[in-house]
Amino acid sequence: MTCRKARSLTALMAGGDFVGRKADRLKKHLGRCAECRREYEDIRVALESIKSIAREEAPPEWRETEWKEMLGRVISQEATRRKAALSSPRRHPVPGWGYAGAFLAVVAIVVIGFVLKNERGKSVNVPVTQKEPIVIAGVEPSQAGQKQEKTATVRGPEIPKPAIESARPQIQSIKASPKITRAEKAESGETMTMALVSQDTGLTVYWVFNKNFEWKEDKK
Amino acid sequence: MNEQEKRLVESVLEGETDAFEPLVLPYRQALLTLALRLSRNIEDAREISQEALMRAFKYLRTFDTEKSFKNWLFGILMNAAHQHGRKARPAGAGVRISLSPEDERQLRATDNPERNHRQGEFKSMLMDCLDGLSRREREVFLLRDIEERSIRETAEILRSSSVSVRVHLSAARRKIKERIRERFPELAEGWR
Repeated sequence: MTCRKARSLTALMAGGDFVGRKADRLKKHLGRCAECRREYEDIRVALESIKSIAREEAPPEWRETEWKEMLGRVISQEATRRKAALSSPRRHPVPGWGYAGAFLAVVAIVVIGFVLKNERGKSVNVPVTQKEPIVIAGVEPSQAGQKQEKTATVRGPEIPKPAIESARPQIQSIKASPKITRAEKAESGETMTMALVSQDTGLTVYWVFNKNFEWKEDKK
Repeated sequence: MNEQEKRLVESVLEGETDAFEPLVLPYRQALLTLALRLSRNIEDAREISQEALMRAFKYLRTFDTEKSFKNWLFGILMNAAHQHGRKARPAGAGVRISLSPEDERQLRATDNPERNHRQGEFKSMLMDCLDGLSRREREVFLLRDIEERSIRETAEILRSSSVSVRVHLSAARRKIKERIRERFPELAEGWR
């Protein structure tokens, strides 16, 4: 054991707080090293002196009246506190998990509200799939049903592109007509069919959209 | 904790407030002495003792009757003294011994004038030695070497670890030795 290490332990050993195998090593060191032994002895005697001083000193005393008064104050204060605690409505302290639970509940409500809002938004944007035949103005329901089932096929003769182009202003004018607001949409699988019926001429135009929103036109 | 103390604690908890006095009576002097050695002012010591007793009464329900009541009370007193010291003394201010003449008389109350003188010297010497220690060192030294609590009990009272207590105790003892050598060389001469 080095002197430095021994010096750090002598104070504990001097008060009897260092025992065991390491203490034996320290004792051996003290037997060899006069400086460390003197340090140990000085601390031990200083401790004994201070302990005897403490034992000899007259301890402060409570005057009897003072003690009684003080104790009376202590007891009356506590009694008042207990009475007040009993008379006041009991407060149940909220445990830590209560706050955490409330926080999670708030987060859950916000998330659910957000999800529901999104779902509603989707149901507005996405056309509703209809099982029953679509009633289209000027077209028999059975025909409309047929058309809904065959959404992928283009009915009638192929119309050349210029004809489609020429038909566009008419369709726009139809859109403008209040009677044409009954134009229905149908979705089947990955396609969607839209029928536009003119009340004046009886012209029905089917627009079939695929998922990429490419469209084909069928006129009747 | 002995059986009588257990019964007294139960009585107080059942609402019999008069049982509190016999419960704390055996420790009244020890509390005041420890408070005085911590605060070095008899008025502060009285206030600290009162505060400790108030807290003991208030939190008696939390006391584990399997443990030592004295140690529990000492722990409360240590906390009260610490808080009192922080309230009463701005940070960095030194500590001063202030005893009223009556307190001085009371502290030295004995029939032998020679002993009176010696005790006066011893008292100031003990206080002087304690002044050289930090708060934690003083607490550890008082509990272990003056009140003769074990290291484990000292750690329990101070809500600290045994290792921490040993470290502070070692430092305190070395400082006390140096303090005596510096301030009271005549006593240190007698060592050899």
